[in-house]
Amino acid sequence: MKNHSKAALLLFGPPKPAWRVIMSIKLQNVSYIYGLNSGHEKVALRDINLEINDGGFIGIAGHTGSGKSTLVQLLDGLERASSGKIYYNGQDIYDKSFDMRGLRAKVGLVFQYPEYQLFETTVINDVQFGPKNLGLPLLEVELRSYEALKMTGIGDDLIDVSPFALSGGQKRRVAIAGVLAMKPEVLVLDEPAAGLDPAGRTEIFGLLKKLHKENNITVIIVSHSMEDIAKYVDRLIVMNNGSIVLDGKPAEIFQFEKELEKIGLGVPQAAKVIHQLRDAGASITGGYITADESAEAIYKWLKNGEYKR
Amino acid sequence: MKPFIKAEDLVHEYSRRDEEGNVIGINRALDGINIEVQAGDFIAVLGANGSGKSTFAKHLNALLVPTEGTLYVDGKDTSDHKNDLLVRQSAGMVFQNPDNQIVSSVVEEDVGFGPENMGVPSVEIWKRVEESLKNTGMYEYRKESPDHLSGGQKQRIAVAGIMAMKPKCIILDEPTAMLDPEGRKSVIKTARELNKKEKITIILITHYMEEVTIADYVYVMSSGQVRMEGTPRQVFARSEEMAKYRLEIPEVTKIALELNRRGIKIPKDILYPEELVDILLKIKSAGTVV
Amino acid sequence: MIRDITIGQYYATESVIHRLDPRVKVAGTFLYIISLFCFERFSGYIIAALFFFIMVKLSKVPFKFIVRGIKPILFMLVFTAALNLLWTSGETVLVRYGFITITLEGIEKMVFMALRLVFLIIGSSLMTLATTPNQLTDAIESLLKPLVYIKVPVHEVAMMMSIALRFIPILIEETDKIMKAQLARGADFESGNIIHRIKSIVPIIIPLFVSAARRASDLALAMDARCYHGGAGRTKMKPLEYKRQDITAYIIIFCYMAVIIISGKVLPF
Repeated sequence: MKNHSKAALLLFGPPKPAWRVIMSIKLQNVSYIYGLNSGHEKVALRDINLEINDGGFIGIAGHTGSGKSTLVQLLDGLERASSGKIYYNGQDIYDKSFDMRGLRAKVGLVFQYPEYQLFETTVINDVQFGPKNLGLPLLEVELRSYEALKMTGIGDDLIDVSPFALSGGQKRRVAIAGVLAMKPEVLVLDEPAAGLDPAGRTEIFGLLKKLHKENNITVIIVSHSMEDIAKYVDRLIVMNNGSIVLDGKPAEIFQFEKELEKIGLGVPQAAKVIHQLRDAGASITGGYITADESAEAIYKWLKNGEYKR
Repeated sequence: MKPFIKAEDLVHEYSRRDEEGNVIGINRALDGINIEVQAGDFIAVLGANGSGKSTFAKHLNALLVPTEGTLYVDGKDTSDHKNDLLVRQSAGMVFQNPDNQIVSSVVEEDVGFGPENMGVPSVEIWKRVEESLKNTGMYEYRKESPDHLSGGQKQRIAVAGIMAMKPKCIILDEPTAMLDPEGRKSVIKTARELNKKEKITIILITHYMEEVTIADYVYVMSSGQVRMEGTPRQVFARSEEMAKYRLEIPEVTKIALELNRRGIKIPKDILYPEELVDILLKIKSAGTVV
Repeated sequence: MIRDITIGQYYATESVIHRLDPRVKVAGTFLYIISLFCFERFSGYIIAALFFFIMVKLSKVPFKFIVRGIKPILFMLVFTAALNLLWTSGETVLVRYGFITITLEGIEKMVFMALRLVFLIIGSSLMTLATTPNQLTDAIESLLKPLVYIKVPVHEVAMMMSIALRFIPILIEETDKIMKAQLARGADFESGNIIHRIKSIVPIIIPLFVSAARRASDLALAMDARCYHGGAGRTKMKPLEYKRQDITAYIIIFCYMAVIIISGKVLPF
């Protein structure tokens, strides 16, 4: 840790503890246009203003082509905004002196079907690819890789196996470990559950929840099935046609059932049931997300709630 | 009536080999399957990844042949290679990945691929292509390149490509696994319409529960065996067993079960939100819960 | 850059050129390329360009699309131009600097050869832009039919070409995706010496190869499922039949060839 002078301490307060960086991402009037000057331009993002702060478990929902995948690529500096500004921890990422590769380590982006990027001869070698690229000492690389594999629940018996010999679910975990080994402050995943069976979906979301809780990683999940992620996230951002249309707690978002269905998104069946009961005159509160919550709300209403025809 | 598909003690084994090609073990992907499907039915086969459901689908299309037991499709024994083309013609197959089954760079040419292989005269091919594109709601895209279509649209092109072969049955092997909710809905709707209007037998292989509710009959597979079967209601009422096979039940069914657990006596085999709401409103107005 | 490749891409629209029998287009393009080697003076390019622009107009393909085809070969273009410039000996020396000698003849030769290469590329990209890959392979299959007698598997080769063309855009997109995914893992494709750069391609090539193999096996299965069993007994949805417009097109191409050859002898520049 650097030495801080007394004056700096007075001015800025004590230094932030090194183990806990306060992450923040801020987008200001960000637009993105595909194929600029090619004759068939397509606006993928228009005038996005968004702030993502440390410690959240966030879902970004929208149907195919809503701009959500472009958005996450902007966060990682893989695409450059056509206009507007993006700040990471207060720094302008388009500033000439900004360390873009450093950003990619801090914002860990896991693409859709990440298992298709595996290329090394063994699981451990593949996971080491990221930290090695960061130029870390070998010991640190190894330490981080083993840790990341442990975090994703890959057992010691698999670390020297070829990644191509693993099952689909295991491959995906290894791919996620490959990103975790870079020690990102925020983990962004595009459709992490795509192609998995119901139990596999629950397992992968459970894993992300655990990473969020135990390792203090901010998690952003991008998905077109927001009923799947509703249970896990504490904030939902809904995108349509390149703009953010809704932003709030899942229970607030699902109030807008009709609007969501219009833009090709589903709501949990629990929310549907509650809405239909309400439309029929029942005064029920809550119960939008899980079956259990919903049953509880209905139960209370049946026991003593009002019902006017 | 003679069943359209009849599987008797169907077994399929894959042999695992080492680098020199010696057999080092045998995997039983299908382990004694007995299934009968009547013509015109809408059947769903549910199963987690690795349950053997896709292996079973490949058998229905004679892409794999039984190691033991027999499989008859439209009265033809699939283990006889002379029947391959006949089987594939009467039971067409749509696969999971929309891109990897489209052969041509123009929609209509792709739909014509099957009939071309069957030696159908050109005039007749055009008629079939037009008809099947209209049936799947993709006619307006006939001159487009598949690359410009969404996943759901590509899957409907694939369905149209099978329809142009004039099959009696379509097997859909996880057709929606790679699609967004909108695409999923459109593909399932197409399958359902073909079943209702054209009387095509549908075998839908999936692990999405909501897609199964419209089926006439459901088979649940796990480790190569049929573990449960019945109507969607019968199957979904057994939620613990479903969880054992790495599957889920629809959320409304779960709500109904949770209410039962809290002492509210309502049916446990509810499939649709509307249905649950109806029942709840009835018991509330009757004042039977206090 | 890989996104700029227009050869092998189809531009969907309705036009006279699109409607022509693909055999006419393949043979016509072939003749057009030959025509570029039939003259030695710049007047030839005026006629070749005029003919080409009329064809582009008729095809309704935006000119931008055709020009974009040159981008990926820009390096080759500059390289050959430089070679021609430096290696052509002539009498009118313009610049002499050390071992570099630039002559007027050199400049002429450079421009001449560069133009030839440009017309060659844009001429063939017009053909692929106005012909669906399937029609293209149908045409090649049909034009190469005679080779069946010397045991060349013409149908299989044509089918392979058509599938390759179908999957080129998909694999280009996939390459882009894999590249981004590895960039997100801190990969660096741009700096370092040549050995480092070659090594840095491994994380792209292997996933791409694995994916291509998976797609190939999926596709083979899907083709089996659609009763594909080689060329025997196969009919065509769009059988190739010459119509009146195709005969007219052949006549126009031969007229063009005649004009090119005669003009080379008659015109003074």
